[in-house]
Amino acid sequence: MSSFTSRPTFERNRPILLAYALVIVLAIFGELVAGGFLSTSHIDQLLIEASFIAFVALGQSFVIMSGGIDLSIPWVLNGAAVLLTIFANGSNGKTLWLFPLLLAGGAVVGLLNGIGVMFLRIPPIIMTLGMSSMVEGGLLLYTNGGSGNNAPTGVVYMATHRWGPVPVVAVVWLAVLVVATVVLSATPFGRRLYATGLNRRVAEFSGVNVRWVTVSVYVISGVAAALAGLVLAGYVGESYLGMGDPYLFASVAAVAIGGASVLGGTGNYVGTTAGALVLALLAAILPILGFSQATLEIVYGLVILVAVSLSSLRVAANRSVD
Amino acid sequence: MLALFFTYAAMQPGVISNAQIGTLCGDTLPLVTLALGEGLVIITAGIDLSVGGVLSLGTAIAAIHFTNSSQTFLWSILIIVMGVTAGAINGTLIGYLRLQPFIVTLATWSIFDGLALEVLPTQGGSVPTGFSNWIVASTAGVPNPAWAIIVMAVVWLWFKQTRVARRIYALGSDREGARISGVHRPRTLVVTYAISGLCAAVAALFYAMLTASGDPTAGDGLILPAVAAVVIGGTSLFGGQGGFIGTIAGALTLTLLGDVIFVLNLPSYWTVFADGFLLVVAVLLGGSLRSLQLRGLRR
Repeated sequence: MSSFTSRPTFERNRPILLAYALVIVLAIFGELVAGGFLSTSHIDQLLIEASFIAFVALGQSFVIMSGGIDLSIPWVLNGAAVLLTIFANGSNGKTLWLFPLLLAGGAVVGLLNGIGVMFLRIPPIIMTLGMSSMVEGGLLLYTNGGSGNNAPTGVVYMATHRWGPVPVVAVVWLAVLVVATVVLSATPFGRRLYATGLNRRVAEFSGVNVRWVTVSVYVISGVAAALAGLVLAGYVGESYLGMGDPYLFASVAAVAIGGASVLGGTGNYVGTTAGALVLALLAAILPILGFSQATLEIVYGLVILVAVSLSSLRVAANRSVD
Repeated sequence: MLALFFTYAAMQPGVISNAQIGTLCGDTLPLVTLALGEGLVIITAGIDLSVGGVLSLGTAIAAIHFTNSSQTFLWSILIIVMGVTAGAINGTLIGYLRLQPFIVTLATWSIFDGLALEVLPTQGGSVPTGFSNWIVASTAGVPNPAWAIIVMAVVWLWFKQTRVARRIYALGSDREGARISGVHRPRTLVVTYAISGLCAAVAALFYAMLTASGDPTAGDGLILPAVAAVVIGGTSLFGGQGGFIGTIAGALTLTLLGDVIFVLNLPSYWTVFADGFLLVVAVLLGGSLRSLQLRGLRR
């Protein structure tokens, strides 16, 4: 375990550097197969689409680093999107208070997940799978299976507008990236999170409040998923049931590409950011090559398998068996 | 015990009558078949999320390729081969590469979902009526789906006595002890997940019979009920305990619950909520029972 901190910086960050190299390779490949792929407007488009993945993967990163998993992300995202469009009904005034309220709603779902995992000792996969179904059921009951209204112009602006050449949502993403990186690498919370993910028991004995850390990561994941839902509603211009479905696999794939071990205790949001970019590039390139949307799901699965196999080989090489 | 309580509670409103047993068993058949394999995986303290993808792909293939009886026979076998192969791949990655079950099967779930959508982009297609009629017909006065569940139960009772089953239980209850007593972990896991894939493929055939068409996303909504049926049936998520007989009760409970919701004229969406809620509650109750039994023993 001590090898984790004493390994040289390059060695430790190799998976992340590889992920960024992959981003560059894919971007160049995209330009080669389709001229204009790297035009400013298309790069903006790619950044916007990558940001949704980056937001859901923010929460998934924290949860996976703590040694858990959050399967409830798609329906929390969907809930935030649908409730925003229903309650705001196109009004920006209402959006002003709905936005924080729905983020808080995501936090509540995350809190319940965290309580279930930490205090009721329900395995994360089961707790979040059950929660996902409850949120889905609640949403279906509330909407009676119908879709939401149009998104208010405020969130449409946030999701699609550009300041000069830079999309607004990319600025939000950059802010999230800076905050998440500072939190993970320079705060006691970050150190406690890594310690919890590496070895819960050891962390507990060395004075880390493991319960608080665990509940926090699920709350962060709930808020992040809700944020993704709000922005995605703005991007699509409306909301519908099932709009969150692709984001479960995407969130896990982004984290895995970013080099985090699914066993917990490693990885950071800089890596996950590269993961989100890789997935957005793949989503743009595959249709150009004539592959269908379904292929993307197959690729997500393959990407997760490859990334996880590589990281397990790395872990095996760097860390002796427990 | 827990399972019986739930079944009893669900049966209270008196929805069950002799004539409805066939329908009930038919409606439960895909779920109970899926849960047979899922239960075996859970006994090894693993989880198989990919059964949803395998089921979706199976129904998609059925809806496209089941054109006449000989094609139906040929492709049924291919679907089963596909399921076994899918499971064996999961088992190999988990057993030999020592990857986490949830992440491997999450990834292969995505892959098989994608393949299902490649085969059949939207809900539709059809299967021969001779094929789909099987599930509503009776043999010797007993509805076919009831026979199917009885056969599975008998096979399970036989299987439970075999050395393979003992290895699977040993692996789930005490990994280190199993290793010392000569259980080959990777090989046992390949067999376990292959059986789970086989069950998912057979469940796909039953699902295609039941709906008489294909649905490339059919499996996604059945993963949670399958796990819930296993857990409500008294199988511990931590491995080593439980079995298929309880799972049958768990699956029937969930189907009855859907019927009760229908009879009470509640929106069917309640079942989605209730499945999730029951899963969490069953794990909680199972966990507290277990901690009462095992207090002081190793965690």
